[in-house]
Amino acid sequence: MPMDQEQQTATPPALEFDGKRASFLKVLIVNGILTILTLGIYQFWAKAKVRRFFWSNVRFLDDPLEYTGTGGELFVGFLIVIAILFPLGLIYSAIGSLVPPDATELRVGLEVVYYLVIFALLQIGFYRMWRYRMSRTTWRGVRFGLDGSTWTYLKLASGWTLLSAITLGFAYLWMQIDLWRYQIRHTRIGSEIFKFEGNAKDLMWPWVTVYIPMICIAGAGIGIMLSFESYTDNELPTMIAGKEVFVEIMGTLIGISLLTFFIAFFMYQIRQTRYQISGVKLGIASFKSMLPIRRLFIFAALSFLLMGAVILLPFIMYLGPNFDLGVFPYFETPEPATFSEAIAPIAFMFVSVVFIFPLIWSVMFKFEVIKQLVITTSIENADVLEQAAQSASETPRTGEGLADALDIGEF
Amino acid sequence: MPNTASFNDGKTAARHSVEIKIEALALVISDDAGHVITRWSLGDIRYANATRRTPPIRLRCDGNDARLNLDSDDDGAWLTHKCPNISKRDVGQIK
Repeated sequence: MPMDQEQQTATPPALEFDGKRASFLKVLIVNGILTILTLGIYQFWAKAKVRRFFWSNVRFLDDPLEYTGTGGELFVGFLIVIAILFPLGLIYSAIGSLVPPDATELRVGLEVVYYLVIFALLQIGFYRMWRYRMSRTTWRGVRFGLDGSTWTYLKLASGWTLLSAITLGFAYLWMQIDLWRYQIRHTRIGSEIFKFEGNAKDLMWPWVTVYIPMICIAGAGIGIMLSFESYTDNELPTMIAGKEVFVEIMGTLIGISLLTFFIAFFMYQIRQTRYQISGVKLGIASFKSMLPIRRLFIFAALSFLLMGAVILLPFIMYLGPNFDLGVFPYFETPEPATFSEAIAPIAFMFVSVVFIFPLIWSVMFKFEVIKQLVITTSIENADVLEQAAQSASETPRTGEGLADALDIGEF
Repeated sequence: MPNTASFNDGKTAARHSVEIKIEALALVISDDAGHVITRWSLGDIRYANATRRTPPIRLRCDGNDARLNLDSDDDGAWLTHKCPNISKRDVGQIK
């Protein structure tokens, strides 16, 4: 065996993942039951448990990451933000009730202000969420951190969002990379600051494969709208004579474009993630991601198939051997004999959407994404990270608050 | 006969090979040459990951960022049963 090859075989990967899907499932089931029993309050402790699970199963240079945050911190953060948002909501409602119903411009203005405030809160919430998560992540006892200014991040996000709107979404790619650059350039392990080297134009062609179907959907949608005559409040729109074939073609185009968009966007997201990770440096250490598109696509498809199977389950059980997709949906099946028979499928649907679907998605897909993110990332000169020295920077005292209130963040 | 372990002092991410032994009411952590690096009071020792108690065992000392990793073949029983607060989860581990 050549020397280089021998050395490569002997060197263990810098990043490893030890998590088992069955253990994760157990964590999620216990979390789900406790969250239901506590009417949702346990969700903050559940979140902390899920993070502790993932962090502790990621090993870097043979030592695991540690998540030191607590459910209590997340809960207190949430309460603080609700105490601020609730009066704001009341003020908005009070102003809304004072505006006369026929003052359309004033109403639109109020709506615009409302959505601008929500947008700003989302950006602030996102940055503060990462600041908290970084401050609660340690490796070999050395804390990660996120510095930088939330307000600068908000200004950056606002400018790019405006530019994205002006360019009909095309600048979205540049926004993503520029915000990531800001985030990474202010992320540190101990006192060692990361940096990001990359340029959005490297992702332009994959982005075009997402953008073209998007434009097709918008164009075809406008075409269909223009094929109908204007209508009043009391009448439904009617199609202009001779436009039937055009509308049919546009409808087909929307269908094909939608399918293309979803597949292209999925692939693009993975490429973007790879690019974002591969541009991260810390001194002479550099990261490289080989996040697999096909494998994640299969896991996403399997998750949806499993969810579909879960939805079909009550129908199969109810109809038994008479089950026939031809009599789908439920309304065409024989009349339910009792109230409980009638309510059972609805209850099952509710439990599926609230509990079983997120469970399937998390165990099948999210778990795989995190596992693949870790095991397909390699770090050149990883030893540099061993020189990281503890930082004396202050850490936030409470949890993510805004992020929880606005439901941002995957886990 | 002291046990061996690896130690992170909480000041840098460097990993140090150390020898550990119990003396009176403290865990004494020494370098390879036998110089004492630090002493952890047994009452202050905690699992670093409160949900993982199988080897490799990781320990921390309440009030500082240092971590001690016992060898992978050491289940830590000789030490953990002498630490009264080993399973305690302190609020605000971050200092």
